[in-house]
Amino acid sequence: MSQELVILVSASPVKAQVHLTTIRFIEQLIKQQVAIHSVFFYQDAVQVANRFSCPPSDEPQLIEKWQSISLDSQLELQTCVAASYRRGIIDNHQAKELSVQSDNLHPSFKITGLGQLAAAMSDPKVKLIHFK
Amino acid sequence: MSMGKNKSMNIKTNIIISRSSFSNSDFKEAVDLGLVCAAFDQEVNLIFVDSGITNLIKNQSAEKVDDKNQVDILKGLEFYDIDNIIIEQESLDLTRLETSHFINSVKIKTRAEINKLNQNANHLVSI
Repeated sequence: MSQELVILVSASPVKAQVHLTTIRFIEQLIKQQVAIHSVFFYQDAVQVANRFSCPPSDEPQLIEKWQSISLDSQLELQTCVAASYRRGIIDNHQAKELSVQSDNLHPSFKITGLGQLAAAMSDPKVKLIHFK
Repeated sequence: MSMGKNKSMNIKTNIIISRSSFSNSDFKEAVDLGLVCAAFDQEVNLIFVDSGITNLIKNQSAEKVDDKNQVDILKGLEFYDIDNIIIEQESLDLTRLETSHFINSVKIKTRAEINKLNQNANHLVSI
């Protein structure tokens, strides 16, 4: 039974080093051809998916780095729907529901339910690694 | 998804809550995760350590801080077969709280016992 990893990130993007460590870890996994099932953002980590965030130019541009990981590896970056909406990260669907002009979800990310994470965790060949 | 007593419980998930009640959304998000994992037939332990044990104090006056009574959320856990709501003994010993201050369903376990539970778990999430 070949093992797959689920990466759970819960740290706020303000704790940039946690995200950078996670990204470096994923890069190494890809290099070593370790199977990654999914990357799931929970709690304050969902704020990294806000496409309007503008960190100073001399600080890590996390959203660009996550986008690069997503494009290079075809990994789906999933954010928890409840955690996202609670923190004002909304997709097109929710923007329409709220009748606001625009969503703010970066296109590299997808809002999904906690069930996606739980379903992955229920797979016996999946191991969870949590970055917080 | 399924609920009920006859589900197969092969996957064990431990969720550790260490921060105090009403300080953030940790408790709600930890319980949400526990409920969804249990709905996917996982055996879930909710483990409260450090200031996190205050989440389980009964008779909290949540309305006085414009919040909702979060202990009520725990009442639904048994329907998802989450029977293990655990307080770490060593965390309890650092307070003046006693078992009678907490909701009835809690179990007190030592750090060594919790370590053993964690070693036997498939997944460990520390909120």
